[in-house]
Amino acid sequence: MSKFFSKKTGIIPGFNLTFSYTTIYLLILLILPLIGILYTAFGNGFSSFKEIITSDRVIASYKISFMTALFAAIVNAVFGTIIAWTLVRYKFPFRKLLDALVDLPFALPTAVAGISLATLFSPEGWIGKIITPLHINAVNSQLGITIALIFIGFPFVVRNVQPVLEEFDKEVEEAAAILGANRFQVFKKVIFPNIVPSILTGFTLAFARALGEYGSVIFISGNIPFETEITPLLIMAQLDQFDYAGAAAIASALLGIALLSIFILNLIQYYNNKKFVR
Amino acid sequence: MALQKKQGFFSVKTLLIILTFLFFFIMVFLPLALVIHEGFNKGVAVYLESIKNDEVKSAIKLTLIAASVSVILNTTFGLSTAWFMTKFKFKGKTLYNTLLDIPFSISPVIVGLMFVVLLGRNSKIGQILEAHDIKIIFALPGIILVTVFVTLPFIAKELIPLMQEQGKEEEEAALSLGASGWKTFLKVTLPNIKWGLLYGIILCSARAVGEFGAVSVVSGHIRGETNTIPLHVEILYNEYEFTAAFAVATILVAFAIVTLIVKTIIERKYSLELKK
Amino acid sequence: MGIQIKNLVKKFGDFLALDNISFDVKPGELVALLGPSGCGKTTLLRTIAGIEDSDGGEILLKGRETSDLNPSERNVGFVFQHFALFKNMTVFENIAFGLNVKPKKERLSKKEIEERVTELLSLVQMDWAAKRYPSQLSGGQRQRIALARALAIRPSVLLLDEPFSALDAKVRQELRKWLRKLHEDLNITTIFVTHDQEEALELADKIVIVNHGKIEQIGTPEEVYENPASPFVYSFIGNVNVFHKRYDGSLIQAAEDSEELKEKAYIRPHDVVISVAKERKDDVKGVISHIRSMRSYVYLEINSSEVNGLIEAEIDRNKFNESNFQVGDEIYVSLENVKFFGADSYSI
Repeated sequence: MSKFFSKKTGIIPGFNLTFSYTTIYLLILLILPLIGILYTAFGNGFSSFKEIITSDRVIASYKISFMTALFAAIVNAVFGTIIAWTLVRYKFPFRKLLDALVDLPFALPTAVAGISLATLFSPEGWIGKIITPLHINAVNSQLGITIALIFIGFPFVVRNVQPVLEEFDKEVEEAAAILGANRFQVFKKVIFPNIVPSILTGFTLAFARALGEYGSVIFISGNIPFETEITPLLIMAQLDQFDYAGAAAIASALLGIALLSIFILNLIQYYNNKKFVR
Repeated sequence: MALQKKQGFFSVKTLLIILTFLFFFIMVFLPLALVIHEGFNKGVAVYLESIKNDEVKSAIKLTLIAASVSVILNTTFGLSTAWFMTKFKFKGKTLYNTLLDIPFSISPVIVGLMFVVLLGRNSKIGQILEAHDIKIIFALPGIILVTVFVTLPFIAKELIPLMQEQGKEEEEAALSLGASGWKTFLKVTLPNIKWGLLYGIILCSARAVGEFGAVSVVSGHIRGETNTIPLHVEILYNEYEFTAAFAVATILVAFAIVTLIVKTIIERKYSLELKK
Repeated sequence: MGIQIKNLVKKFGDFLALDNISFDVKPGELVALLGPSGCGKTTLLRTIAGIEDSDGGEILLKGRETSDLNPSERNVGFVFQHFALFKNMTVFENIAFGLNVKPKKERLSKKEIEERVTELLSLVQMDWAAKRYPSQLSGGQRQRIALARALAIRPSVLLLDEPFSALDAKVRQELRKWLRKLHEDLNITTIFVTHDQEEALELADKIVIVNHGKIEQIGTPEEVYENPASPFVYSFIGNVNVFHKRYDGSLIQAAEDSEELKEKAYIRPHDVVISVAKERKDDVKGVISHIRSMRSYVYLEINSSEVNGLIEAEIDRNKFNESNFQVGDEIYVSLENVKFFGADSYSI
């Protein structure tokens, strides 16, 4: 404990109380369950663990989860930036309404999003009616999964890019314009380099979230093994069969990737601070 | 800004605005409209029937209990964490900040699994619990636990930067004038952070009410006993009771919209104090 | 190759920021736009640059009407108060920016760009900084880079918006001298905006004094100091004692409301002469109430019942040290070089 504070500074009380409360809280609610999962995952030995997480069906689920999450995150990076730009730089009717609605995926329960999107894109649904004749199948397909993941991920990008654009120094743009740059050059050389870190942050957050997403995906995906079975669903399936070790093993692999993404995120922040320290 | 004189109708600006509206239309407006449309598909009478029955009532009750308890617990957690991280020279900030990021990045299913593995019948702790006839998994306490887990960081993450920004001078001043620690906290700190705290509570509540995956794993899906509203929606949908499912979903939609409205009001009015 | 502003008007909603502004800048002149905060001088500069639209009037750069041109087409150089350097680019890239964004036809070769940037880095005495980033430089250094960047495109006109007000006092002084020298070397038509009258008096060939969106006076530093056109100019350009003059010729500071006053009298503190005895008929009697030593001169406050108020004086330090005056001494004050303005406004 003593490595956390070199000496108690000042006259403010409550350090011991709050520090202990928080740490115990975290130990019981956060650390203990995590250890529990790892323990169960490796409960039957490492080779058993390895066998489970490298089995065909599991690997297929990784691929599906990964690819759909990646694609959705890329779409979110692009559209999220467009939306952030439009909301910050332009004035148009309903702008404030749209701005407030960006947070809807955060506020809406995933199950509601799930059944709504599933119905919307089903062959009889409002959008499904239009795209099915075009041989675009959004239900029971990876496309459907991706659409759901786009829904839950776009606020991450928008909310990360928006503040950077809002605080952007107008005078720097004016300087560039006076020096002869046209609007595209101003964007490409002056504005864009400065929003890249925030786009990357939003992308990583959206990606990490998409990897573990469950509620909004299960209704539209059809959960077909080897085709549209995402990893969280596979874990659920193992649970239903009371295969705790199996579920825990797969979960551990997914956890590893999640932690990796937090790490990458912190790296981005670190580099960002280093390069652009005022 | 007068940086470009002519902005024709077919400009980049128009294109981007159209794209934005299109995206929102497909991704936000249509799904919302659909929920309401499907819920009222068979008429207002059927709609009211679907949401006024006992199962729904107990689901609402359960959701509210789980959400309230989580919010209260996590508020104490958030205040406690923000206090020691910002009012003292604390060297472990990075570690604790990283820990706070973890609940956000774990799949809800895994969250549920963690608690089942820890407290379910097959675990050591679970067996002790069963011996004393204490039910956690597949009962309300389990639901509360996972809800606490997934909403753990919201209030803390809202308060930490806010209190960091506000510094500790006011608290030090109050203490030097003779106020006790608690008095200082209540009369000096709390008023300063009230909007940030409220904001965090709103976010926390919204997430707590809407949590699905984690609760799904630990609840056991026992209608009338361990069903939250989102779970009830799922059950109805899986039983092909589409209208009923969407009808119940409208409750959640209404809650989400109220959340957004309150959130926006707080943001607009107190953007300075929220340090956004 | 100069600048001509004709009847320039600029509104922000209902607020009239620029009210029919007209003035000329000769080729190679260094002109200061001087005025208090909010007077419109920065708006004027930004309108000339094109980053604000005008609502009426003409701006002629090199004889060419430019109100309809984009800022990128006007070939002006602009230096901002807070530098506005591109923080994601090196110093070299910052300076080269204007040259790099030119359309392919007009763009110089990579080698030529490198030469010109190096030349400019030498000019602003920052050769060593080429690979650094703006965040690694001090304020004064950043401003020099901003200047080099503006000059890179060989603008016909250089516009500076309070270029030194974000810097420390010492750096400000150094850069002022440096800018003066630079202007002598390059001889580029320059307008700079400032609220600091000392800066304007020190640097400018010609000063344009702006107040509430209107021009109060245009003249050389000597002209505006010696012959201010209005009470505003008088008090803005230097320190001032203000008196009311009664019809019987006597001066008074605090007048009764019912009194009929002929005009206002303005006197510079350094035109106040103090002596032990009454030397002239109009001399006023008073008591020294405050003495403060201020580097090259001594500041005195003299309480005088005759004028019903306080007279401020600035006496040359050497002269003062010879005199041996102290607080409480009774002295006589001669007011020289009095300027009269009508009871409410302008010069008669």
